[in-house]
Amino acid sequence: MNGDLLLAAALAPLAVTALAALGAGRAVWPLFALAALPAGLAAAFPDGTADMPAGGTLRLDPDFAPALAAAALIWAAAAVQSRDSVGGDAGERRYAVFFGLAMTGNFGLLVAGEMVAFYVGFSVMSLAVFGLVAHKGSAEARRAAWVYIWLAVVGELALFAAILLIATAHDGTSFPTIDGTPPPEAAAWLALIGCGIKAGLVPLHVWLPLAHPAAPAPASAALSGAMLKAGVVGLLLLVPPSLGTPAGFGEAMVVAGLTGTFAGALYGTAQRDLKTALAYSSLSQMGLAITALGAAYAGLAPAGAAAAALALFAIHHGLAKGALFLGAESGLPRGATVALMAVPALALTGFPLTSGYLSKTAFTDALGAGPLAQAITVAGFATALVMARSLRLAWSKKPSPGGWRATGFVGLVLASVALPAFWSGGPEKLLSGLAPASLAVALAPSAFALAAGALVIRARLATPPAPPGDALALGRAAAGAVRPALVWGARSLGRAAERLDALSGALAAGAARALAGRPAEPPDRWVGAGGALVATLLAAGLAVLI
Amino acid sequence: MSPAWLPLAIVATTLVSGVVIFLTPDRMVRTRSALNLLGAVATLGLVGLLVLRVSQGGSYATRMPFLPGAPLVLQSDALSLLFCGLSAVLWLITTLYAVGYLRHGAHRPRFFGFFAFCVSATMGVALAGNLLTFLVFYEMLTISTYPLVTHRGDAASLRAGRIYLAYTLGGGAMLLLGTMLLYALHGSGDFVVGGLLSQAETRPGDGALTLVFAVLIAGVGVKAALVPLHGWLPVAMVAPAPVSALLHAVAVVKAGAFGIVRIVYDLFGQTLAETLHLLPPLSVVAAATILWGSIRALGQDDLKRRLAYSTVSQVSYIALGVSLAHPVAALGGIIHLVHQGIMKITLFFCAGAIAETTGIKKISDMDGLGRRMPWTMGAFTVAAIGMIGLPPTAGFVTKWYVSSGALESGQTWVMVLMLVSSGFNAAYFLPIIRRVWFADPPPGTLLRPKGLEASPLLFGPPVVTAALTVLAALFAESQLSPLGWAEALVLREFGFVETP
Amino acid sequence: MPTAASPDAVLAALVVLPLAAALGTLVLPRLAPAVATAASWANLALVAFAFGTIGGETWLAGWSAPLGIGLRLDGLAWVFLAFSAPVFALAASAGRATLAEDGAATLWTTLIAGVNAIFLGADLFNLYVGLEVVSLSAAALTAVGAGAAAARAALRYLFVGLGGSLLYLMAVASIYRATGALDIGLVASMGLQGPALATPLALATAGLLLKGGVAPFHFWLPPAHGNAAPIVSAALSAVVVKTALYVLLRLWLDVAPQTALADAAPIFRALGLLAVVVGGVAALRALRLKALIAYSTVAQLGYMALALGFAAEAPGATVAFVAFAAAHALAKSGLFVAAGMIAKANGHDEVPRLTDPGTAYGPAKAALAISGGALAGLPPTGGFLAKWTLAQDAAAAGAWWVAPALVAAGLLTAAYMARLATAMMRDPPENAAADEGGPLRGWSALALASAALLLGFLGAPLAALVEAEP
Repeated sequence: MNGDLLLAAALAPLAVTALAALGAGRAVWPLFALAALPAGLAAAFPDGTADMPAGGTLRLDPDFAPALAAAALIWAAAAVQSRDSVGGDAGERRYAVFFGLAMTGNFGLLVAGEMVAFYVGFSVMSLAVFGLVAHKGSAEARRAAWVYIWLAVVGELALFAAILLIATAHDGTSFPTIDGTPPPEAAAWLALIGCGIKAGLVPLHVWLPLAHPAAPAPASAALSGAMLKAGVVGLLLLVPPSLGTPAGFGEAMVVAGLTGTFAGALYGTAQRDLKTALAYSSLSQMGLAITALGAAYAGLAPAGAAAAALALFAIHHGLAKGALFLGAESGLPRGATVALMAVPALALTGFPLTSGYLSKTAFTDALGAGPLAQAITVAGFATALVMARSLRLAWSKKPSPGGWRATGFVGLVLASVALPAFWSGGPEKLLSGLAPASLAVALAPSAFALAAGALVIRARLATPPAPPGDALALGRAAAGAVRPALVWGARSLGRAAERLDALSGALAAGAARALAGRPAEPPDRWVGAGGALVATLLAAGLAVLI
Repeated sequence: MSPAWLPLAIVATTLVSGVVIFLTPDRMVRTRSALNLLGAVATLGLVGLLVLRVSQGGSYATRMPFLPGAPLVLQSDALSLLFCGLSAVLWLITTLYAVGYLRHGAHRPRFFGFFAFCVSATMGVALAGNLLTFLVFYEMLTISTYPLVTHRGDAASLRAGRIYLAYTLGGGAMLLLGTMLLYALHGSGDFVVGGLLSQAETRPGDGALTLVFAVLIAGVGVKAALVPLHGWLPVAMVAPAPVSALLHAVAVVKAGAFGIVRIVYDLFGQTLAETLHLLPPLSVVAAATILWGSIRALGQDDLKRRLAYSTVSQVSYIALGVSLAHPVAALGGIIHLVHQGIMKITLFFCAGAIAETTGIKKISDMDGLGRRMPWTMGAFTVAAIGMIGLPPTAGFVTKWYVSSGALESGQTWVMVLMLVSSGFNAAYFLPIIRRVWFADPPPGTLLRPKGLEASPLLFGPPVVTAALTVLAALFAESQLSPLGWAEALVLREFGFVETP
Repeated sequence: MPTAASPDAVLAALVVLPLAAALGTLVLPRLAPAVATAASWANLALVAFAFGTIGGETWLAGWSAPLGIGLRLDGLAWVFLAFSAPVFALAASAGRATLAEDGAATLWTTLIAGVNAIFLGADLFNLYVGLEVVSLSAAALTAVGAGAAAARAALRYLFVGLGGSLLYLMAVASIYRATGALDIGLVASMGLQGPALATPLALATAGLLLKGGVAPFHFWLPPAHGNAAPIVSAALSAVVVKTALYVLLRLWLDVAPQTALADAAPIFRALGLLAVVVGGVAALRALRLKALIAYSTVAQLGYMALALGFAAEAPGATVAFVAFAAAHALAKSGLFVAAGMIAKANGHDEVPRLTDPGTAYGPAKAALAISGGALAGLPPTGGFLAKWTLAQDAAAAGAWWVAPALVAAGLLTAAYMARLATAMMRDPPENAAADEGGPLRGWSALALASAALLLGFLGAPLAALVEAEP
């Protein structure tokens, strides 16, 4: 039963994608929502395995069940919203196909039983995202897609190399978690690159703030809510923290994670576009996850606790951020939108009685009492700022036309609220969070944000907008100097190659021409031949005489 | 019919088809198409029968007296059946495609007649049991493909044909020289599992053997488009699309690559090749070709030329896999014979369908084509993904095995090369995909037409072969797949096979 | 062993029948072409029948050596007969128009008689007679039906032929003076040495090389072969030049001791290579189709000289010599007939402007392709068999340069044959002319070309015939 559920989880979205490709029209969207059901059910009953008919196995690690559950909910909500956001567009069918492929890949990688299956899911998802980012066809979308695909390809290749190295070293394609042997050092770093790109690891994150605003809101919701987590999942599978890791691995992650957390949030506060601000928030939040994971690698946090915290984070952030993105095109009047968006926003800041509080305490519990835990707490302030900014931007955004889409948005908000009830030990934790000391700590960020927010509002958005693409912009500036040289180099290489290629042909042609000459009548010779004859006879005669 | 005649029958069926088609008058289109298809189906049936019998443990060899002391031998071992099977299946599909493509063409009896001869020669190359037989059919392949390249008869085609002949006859001459030398030195050139020369009790001197190897590889290297002998391939793109598809996926290029496999494994043998240090130079040439082809492909705006350079690059995966002296890499190389064939033929089918239906030949004109011809471009996309080596396509399987074998034999640079090559492939295929699906078509172009997007015979084949690309990967683990077949082959050659 | 009567009859008939037919053409001028064609086919039948009488000999009119005319048939002779006869027969069928010209039929049948006499000749002087007959009829045929250029070439050919025959005669006289015998077997057993051997050999070789058109004595060949009517060119290239080389072979193999051939080998090898290069390059530069084909003959004769240069060290080289001769004869005759048809259809024979004559010329084009392949030595044709045999035998004797040389020469040949192939793929500007002269010409050409292809598979029987003891 479990095995069949896993199979259905991976294949149901694929089936609907096929229907979309064949031209089923707007009816696919409810179908996509339904297709998320097997995944959700499978998440509720983890620990099953299945064998696929063509080889390979499926398996749902209990640690990842929450991620799968979150993914199921988010994709379903995104599908519902897509019906109105994208429905009726010229490229709806194309969007539906890419949507479905991304969904399939996302579910697939979560239920993969060994590395190759994981890679298949990851690749399909990565490629499909390209289609979602490029959907709108605008110049902004084109640029975002271009940056995305470059990084995605690099990530793919790095991940391929990592998996291959592990498979070769371990003589099999099973995950190191199951295997029990740590991956080779090179593989660990390559996996970090490959998965890190997806998870928004600084400085490989530059595609993230560009892709989210470019894609339609439901796609962004799915991206931030579900797909970014795939990077973390990948790292957990390929480089298990409980087995050994290379020196400096964890430390590097912590540094990158903290950078992402703070820089991301602050940068997001300076944005003028809602989805970009939300994207930077995602970057910031993923930074938290990366920090925690890095701490586990560096031995600063127990692996089991870190994994549990990450699992909770996955579902908490997924639902909350998913809701926020869907809110960007919710179809409700702006008052209702902002009010509803405030709920997940507060959750993200760690407000008492929210899933965010649970997540925060899980992180701080795992990290112990050290500076890292304090950093997490401080990060809450930064998050609050960017959330405030986002709500402000949502207020000034023109509302989108209504329809069903609000259902998805509202649904996710509700799910986000209800999450603690379904998390084991959740309600108790929440109640204990009402104790005065922790209450104050939990409320502080929101209070701070309100105060700061007043200032911000008064400043009337006077701060110059920070262009999204931050580091990329820096990189571009640097590259701008180098770019002409690079382009010239590439062109010369191409031209030289062309000339070399032509050379061999020219040599042959020249030789042939030299040999053939111009066709002409054969000369009419008596004299030369006669002379030859005489000469030969003389020579023969001489030979005879001598 | 006694099964010992099966190999000969396979070659004869295609040959007879060709002759009959030549004798059919131009105007009897339906009859000729029917005859063509009948021949293709019959051949496929015979090949299937042979495969079945061999899988049940039989082995068949036909001997015909030819030169004194050097007979012609057609045999059915795993490698020949792999190539044979590929050729038979793809001939059938390409014939359908060609019938559709040349609906309004001239000189059709000549085209389809030489087409059949070309397949006959390919079958002969595949089934050849010794170097001499290989040579005979290899030259026949050159001769029968020339009229196909120059089919259109205009100045550009004739020029391309001259260049094609110059290269391929030159290669044939090298092969002939190598064959003559080998037979003079050793007395025979039989293809024997494990290598004729490796297992010979007495064999010629090392210097002589190295020379022979170099000459032979140069000879087959022309058809296999090893740099710097690859110049004919992009030039031959003036030929009609079915010709490009057949040449680049099945017949000529694969014959060359197939020759490399035969020479390294069945003539020299793994052990001898390693002793004489013959393989590292081959690796280097293959690697250079892989990179060179990709670099050139980046600079092409003509779709078929870009695909041509991509072929130059991809076929060398086969040579590379074979030259790594490791069973897993060899498996990857050999299986790429099949995989690259299926993927490349899909791409060329699509290119031809596009050119015939819309007149578009340049990539820069392909904006928004996905809306006009979604199925064709879908097939193209699948095949392109395969070329880049992303799962779940056949190209991924190849990449995995070659890289894996390279790692296991300690040659990590090969894995890096494969990754770089994947990157290059992405660089020249992904922009096409983006244009096709995400760019707006030029104003005034016709959007979705009523009914099918192209003639059914142009539209069906690429979809079928694209599906095969994916199926080959999904069912790679099963015994029935080309991979399973190739594994049996490598097993015999190396004595063992490790698959991660 | 057949009865004493049959070898006599068959061998004698091989010489007498064509002569009788020649008389017939004089007596019945209006039926001359038919008579000549019938005689050619009868000749073919006789040759086939003669296969069973290999090893036999006969003396015409009962006069035995040293005065009588002896005819001897060994394996080697039969092979030469066997490839000449189809050429005559098929060419005759293809060239009824040419044979209808004044005197052509008579000359044709006389030519056959002379050729047969040479191949069957057992006696040096009779060989001279045969050579003269062949020279005269061939030269005259060259002038038949074609224009002024052909007449000039024919006259030149005549002088050259006579000159060559004269040299040969001098050689024969010298031998007679030294040994008192003319029969080949008798002369061989005399054991000539020193100047007494070298002088006649040198004279005869010079004369025969001149008659055979081996470089550097080839100057007369391209104009003669290039300007004659197609079937005449076919006969000239295929058979006539081979007669001179046949006599040369007999001289060096059967008359001279082996050491002499070994001594002279470098000369033959050098001449062979020279011919291959000169002929090949000239063919590549040729403007007219017939000239191209004629120069190709020059090159191919070089192969035969090269083979002769190895005959002392390796017995297989003789087989190669014969294979070259046979393959060339069949392929070249087919090529000439097909080329003639194609030139006529195009209205001109300038190679750069030739175009595809149309679907009616299918057999002719196929003949062109197959012949071209045979001449270039592509497998599995007779040309390939010859090259392979020579390369293997030379390598066995330590001369490893032969294989690359033959391969390179083959490439050169392929280069100019490719010009023809290109021409055949060029679409004609207007509607092609209908096939003149009926389908028979095309099929004759194809039959000859196919025989060249078939020869490739007959290596073993060929070797058995040639190497068998006479």
